[in-house]
Amino acid sequence: MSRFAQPSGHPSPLFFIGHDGVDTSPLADLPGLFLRDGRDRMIAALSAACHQLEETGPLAGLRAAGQPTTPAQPWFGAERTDPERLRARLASLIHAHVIDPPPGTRRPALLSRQIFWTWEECRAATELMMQSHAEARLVLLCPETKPASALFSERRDWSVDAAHRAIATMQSYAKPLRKQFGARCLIWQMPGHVATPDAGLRQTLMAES
Amino acid sequence: MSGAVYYPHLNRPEAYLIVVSYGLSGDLVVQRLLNGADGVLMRGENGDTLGALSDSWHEAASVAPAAEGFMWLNRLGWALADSFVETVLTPDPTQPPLVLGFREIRWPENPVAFRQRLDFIAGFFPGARFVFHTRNPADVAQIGWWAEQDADQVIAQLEARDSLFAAYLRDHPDRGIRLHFDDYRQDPEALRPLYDLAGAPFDPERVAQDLAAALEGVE
Repeated sequence: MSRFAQPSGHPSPLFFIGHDGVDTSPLADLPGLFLRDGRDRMIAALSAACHQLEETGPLAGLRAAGQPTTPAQPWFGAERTDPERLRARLASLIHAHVIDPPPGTRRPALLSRQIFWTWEECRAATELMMQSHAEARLVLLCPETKPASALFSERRDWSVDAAHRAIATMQSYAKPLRKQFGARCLIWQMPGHVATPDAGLRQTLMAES
Repeated sequence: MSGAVYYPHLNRPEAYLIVVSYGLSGDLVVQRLLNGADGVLMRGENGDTLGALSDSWHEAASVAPAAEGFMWLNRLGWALADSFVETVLTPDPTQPPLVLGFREIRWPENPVAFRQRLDFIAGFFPGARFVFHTRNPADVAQIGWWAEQDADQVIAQLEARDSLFAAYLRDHPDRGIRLHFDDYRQDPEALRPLYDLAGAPFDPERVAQDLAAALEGVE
């Protein structure tokens, strides 16, 4: 079984990772894009479910031990639980229900504003999203810090300094995400996307799947 | 629901039974008893995996555009429940139980979150019923890790849980029963509603024997 919920041949999604300091209006100019927003908390909860099943101590320990549990044990059935399968099911569910491209959609896309994920939360959530399609692409929206801080501050009613710190933290995830997903992860230094010399990003953004 | 084709794992059992409790209440006794009843498979704790899935549904419900509506949320709920049954409860597909369930002690303390959690289960697991398992808080406060904490605080915390359980049952009397450890320890007949809820025959002699064996493990 492929580790991806959707193999090639289906419209491949774009996952934009940004924050409240991003001016997302340039996304409206991208051809054929069907963009959904505001699903961050849902995806974070799906990712948390995977984490619970994978990491909860007694479950992980009993799975590793591989011994059958009995009805007299508090975690009866733990060794039969299947975190990998749950992850695959939820990745599939992201494609079918979260991105949920209407028929005829050329390029489904999801915009995440990170909701102040820690690095680990960001890594886990993006991993689950990227497992939803073999050709999904992650696009990290990285605006210039100064205007982004002002916009973030205005939207969140935070001080500019606090906004700046939050943005710095969230944009610091770009490097490790790029490392993790390699060529499937692109960084969009905003503004000026399609005019940039980055041919890979331009091709990804302008493609109609 | 007509989703047997789309949600095969979820729809294989006829009903679901969930034991809702807190640690060291003796709820493990109920898990053992139910697993001895014909046609019932009662799994243990799952680290609140279902809680996170339920949260994801409620988050989706809070942002779903009206255009996506009711059926979209229903399909999402069934898909989440089906995933949980397949990967966490894992009944044997060749010998599916009539009644499938699990026991969990991790429940939200917040009344709204608690209701949301149970409403999700009631909404998406066919025939879901709850067993709210309680025990005298003053007794629980003297056991295990509870005994290492301030007894008054523990008692207050457990009484708050009991109140949550009672309030839910008051609003939804058809969704379950309250089962009190101190009652059935004194008189196994107090377990009859549990067996009725599970659709399992209640044989007083056999239940008394099973109870005695199960109690050995917790007392």
